[in-house]
This record gives sequence, structure tokens and C-alpha cells, in this order.
Amino acid sequence: MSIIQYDYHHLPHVKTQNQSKRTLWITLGLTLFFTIVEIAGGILSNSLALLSDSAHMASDVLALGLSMVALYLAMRPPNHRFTFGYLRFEIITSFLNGLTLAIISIGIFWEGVQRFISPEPIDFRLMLTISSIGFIVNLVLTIVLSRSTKEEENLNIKSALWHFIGDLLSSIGVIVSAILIYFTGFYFFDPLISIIIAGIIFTGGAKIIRESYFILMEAVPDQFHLDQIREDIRQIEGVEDVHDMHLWAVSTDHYSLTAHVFINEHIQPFCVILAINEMLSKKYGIKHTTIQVEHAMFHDHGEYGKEFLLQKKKKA
Amino acid sequence: MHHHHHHHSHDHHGHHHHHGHHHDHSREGNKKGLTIAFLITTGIMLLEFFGGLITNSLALLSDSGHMLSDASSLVLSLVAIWFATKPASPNKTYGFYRFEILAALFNGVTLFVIAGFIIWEAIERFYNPPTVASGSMMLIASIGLFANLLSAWALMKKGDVKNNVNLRSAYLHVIGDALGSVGAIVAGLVMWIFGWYVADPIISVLVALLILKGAWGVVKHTVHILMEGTPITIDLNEVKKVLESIDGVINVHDLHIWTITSGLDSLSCHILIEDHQDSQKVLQEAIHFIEEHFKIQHTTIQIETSQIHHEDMKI
Repeated sequence: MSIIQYDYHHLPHVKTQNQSKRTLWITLGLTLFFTIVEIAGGILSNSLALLSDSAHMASDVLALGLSMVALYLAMRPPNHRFTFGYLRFEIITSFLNGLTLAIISIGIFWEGVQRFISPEPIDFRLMLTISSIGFIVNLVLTIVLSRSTKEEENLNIKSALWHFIGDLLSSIGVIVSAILIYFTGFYFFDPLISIIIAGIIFTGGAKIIRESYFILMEAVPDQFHLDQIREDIRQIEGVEDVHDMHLWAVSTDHYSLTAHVFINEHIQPFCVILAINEMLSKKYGIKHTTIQVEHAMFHDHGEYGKEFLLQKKKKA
Repeated sequence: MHHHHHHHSHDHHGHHHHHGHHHDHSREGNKKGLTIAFLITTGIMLLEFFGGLITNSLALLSDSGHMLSDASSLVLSLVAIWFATKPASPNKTYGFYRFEILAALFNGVTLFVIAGFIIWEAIERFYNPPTVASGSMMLIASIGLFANLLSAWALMKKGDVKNNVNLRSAYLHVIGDALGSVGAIVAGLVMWIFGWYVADPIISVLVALLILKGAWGVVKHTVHILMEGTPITIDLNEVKKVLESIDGVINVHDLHIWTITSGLDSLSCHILIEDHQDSQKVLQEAIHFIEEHFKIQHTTIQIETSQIHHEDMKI
């Protein structure tokens, strides 16, 4: 085993995302700072509301920390334990973040329903102070993160972004409902707005869960049609049949394809492999492929192989 | 188009044939064991929850929290088994097996959260221990212990606890519960004899730590599978060595071995051979070796000669 390279690969399974990394450090620093400020403020002013909000901020720090770990892991080269590299940790992180968002939104919804049934009196000044602080912090963080997602596509950062969009919406909601209640005296605005916000956060969470779920299930990515690719491979000269075909995403924008093909006895196997690779790379941008070239006669394929040979005979 | 479809369903049929036999059999047993365990767990969970409220015991409540996570984990495991029997589709070429792994990950994370809640509550109670009706508490905990042992027995008897992560995680939950019930009985005794009510939160923390330990194991294992890591039982270098020992093979590269779901591994690699060698012969041998030595039946091997290798080096 050489020191430079553990195992030769046609495609490196590594990703360096400098933009995302910088953004994440900035947001992590800011969130941590405000968490400490809130804890200190909560203890000094003896306010439970401020303290419980700081607990929420601490959960954001946790989520961001996890995303950060994922970013750094993605830079690690593959080894004998993780042959596809560490890219997938990012997807697992996103999946967990998505789940957290869904759970948070259900919690908010539940609280909203409860307050609908029995409205509680609200301390306007406290509510406005805390939510204004939250509004400013989350606005800054949302802008920083959303800029980064525009430059570098990253599900991980997207899921972190949704945390802050959720927080931002909550603080806007609290401010709006506080004002509405102040002027109209209708307490139901508070739970009503919470329920709407819960709905929005839930949609965001569900979207991230869906995206990461498909990747973790090793499903065929949305933009590819397996049957179309199968047909294209079959069109290549010498290819007689395609089976046992898998196409999945190792991580976002990082695809892998494996397939078995029966070929004509008169053609050189490597020509077929080269032609298939070129087609997949040019037409679909799939660069990590493994094609097993076989002859139905040598290799036992049970009923399937027999039927294939029978049909071939008929044609001839 | 019809012809096409025909082929497709066939190739996956063949697929199932490969791995199916052993699996189908244990799957039925797994389902039965899980259903029995679920019914028992849910009953005891309700008993302990209300019992915990009435007797004012956190130990009982935390044990019922643990059981709640078990009940949900058992439901998820059942759903997972149902999903896994759904055939592979054009969109999910590996079938739905992986849902099991995701379900297990979800369980592991839930356990972390529940343990956190219990520790939080225990700290509060530690400073201000409330009085607990220790007699009834012990009675309820004893029923819980008995029931947990019963469902652990059902899982072990009916299902494949050793090889299926999902079932193993369910089994670990139930065993953890049994220990939790033992803890609750001990706490009840201490309170009953000495009137020492701090025993309740202390035992609760111990239960929580137990939960954490189980959770860590499950999360670690599922993350490894989801990251497409090499199965723990297989040494990649060993596989490489075996393949390179085949006559005419120059090198093996782009080698990947990963787990689709517990007990179902997949391998893909490129093998560079000498130009004059018969690629089909090498392929046969490689497939045979892999199945023989490592019990991996789902393989895709690309045989390359010097022509291909050079063309591809650019990437």
C-alpha cells in the first residue's frame, strides 16, 4: 500500500467546500455568541422566557455543529472502511436536521392548539424584546446562509438554513401577533400565527427529509430515468442485454452506477465498456461506473439466462 | 415496451432468488416475535405510565418512557419488514430494504432525546425529592419486569436477533427495559425500608444511562451502514488480496463493499488484467472467490485491459 494513495480510483470521493465552511463558521460563532448573551441576560434579569429561548438557540448550535462535522468529514479521503468516502455523513446530518424540524413544528402546532383552547395572558414587553433580538440575529444568519447555498449546492447547509428560517418566522410571528393583540385585544392571534408558522417549518423539514431519504435509500436520483439509460446502453454496439442495474447517489451530485451486460461474442469487451462509459459520462454526467461484461453462455443466470439464449436462438 | 418491462421484472426476480431463501424464512419469524413484543410492551407502558403518575415515581415514569420508545421502535420495525417485502422498482433499484436501517437510526435518536428528558427531570427531583407510594410502585415494576422478560423471550425465540440490526435493536430495548424494571423495584425497596426518596431520581438517571448506551450502539451501527461503509465482518484488504491472487490479474481498484441492509452486502470493483487473458475466465473466478470466501452474492465486476485503463486515467 502506497502512502499517497490507498486504492486507485477513477473518481475521487472527496469534496472541499470552502464557501460553505466559512459560512458555517460565521453562523456558528454568531449563534454561540447570542446563546451566551441570552443565558447571561436570562440569569441577570431572572427571566425564564429568555432562558428557554437560549435553550432553543443551543439546539441550533448543536445542529450547526453537526453540519460542520459533516463538512470536515467530506474532505477526508476514502479508506478501507469507508470506500465511498465520508460524503454521506452530510446526508445523514440533513436527514436528522429535517426530522428535528418536523418535530419542532409539531411541538409548536400542539402548543398553538392548546392556547387556542385556553388562551394565556401575555407579557407584551418581554415578548417584544426577546422576539426583536431573535429577529435581528436570525435575519443576519439567514442572509449569510442563503447566500452560501446560492453559490454551493449543499443539502447540509440547506437544512441548517431551514433552522434559521424557522426561527426567523417565529420571531416575526411573535412580533406581529403581539402588535395585533395589543391593538385588537383578540388573544387568538397568538396561537393562530404559531399554527401557520408550524405549517411552514413542517414543509421545509419534510422537503429535506424527502431529499435525504431518497439518497439514503439508494433510490435512482430524480433527474435520471433508469429505463431511458437502460435503453441507451442497449443501443451501444455489441450490447445484447442489460440487467442487475443500479444507479444511486452517494451524496448530492455524486452518482454511482453498476450494471451487468450480455455482449456479442464477436466484440471486444473493453470496446463496449469504453463506449458505455463515454455515453454515460457525456449524456448523463455519470462518471463512477462499474460494468460487468458477461456472456450468457458461460455465466449461470438461471431462468433469465436460459430465456435470453432461447430468444437469441429464435432471432437467429 | 412490453418486452422491456418483462426483462426488467425478471432480472430482479433472479435477484431475489439469490438472496431470498434464508431471508424469507427468518422474516416471518421476525414479524411474529415483533408483534408479540409490541403488544406486551404497549400494555406495560400504559400501566407504568399511569402507575408512575399515581405513585409519583420518576423511576416508573422513565421506565415507561423507555417503553414508549420501544413500542414505537417495534412498530417501525414491523413497518420496515413490510416495506422490505415490497419489490424493487425502477426508482428504488435496491428495493426497500434500507428502510429498516433508517427506522433503526430514528429509534436511536429518539432514545437520546428521552434519556435527556429523564436526566433533566431527575436533577430537579434530586434537590426536592417527592414522596413516592413505594408499595404499589414495586408491584407495577414487578409486572413490568415479568412482561419484559416475556417479550425478550418472544423476540429471541421467534426472530433472528443475532444477524438483523433491526431486531437486535428491538431486543436490546426490551432487555434494557427489564433492567429498568429491576432498578425501579430496587428503588421501591430502598424507599419502602429506609424512606430514602432520593433513590427514585438516582435510579432514573441509571435507567437513562442504560438507554444512552443502547442508543449509541444503534446509532453507530446504522450510520456506518448508511455511509456505505465496508461491513465490519469483512476486511477490504483481504478481499483485494484474494482477487489479486487470481491468475492474470494485475490489480484491483475502485473496490467498494457496502451493506444494503443487515445480511445483504453488495460489491463492485474494477479488475485490470493482462491483455492476453480471457476476461470471462477471470470474471468467473472472481465471482466464485467472492461468494466462497466472503459470502457476497451481489457483485458487479468490470474487467479492464490496458486499453481501457489508459483511456480512463484522465479523470
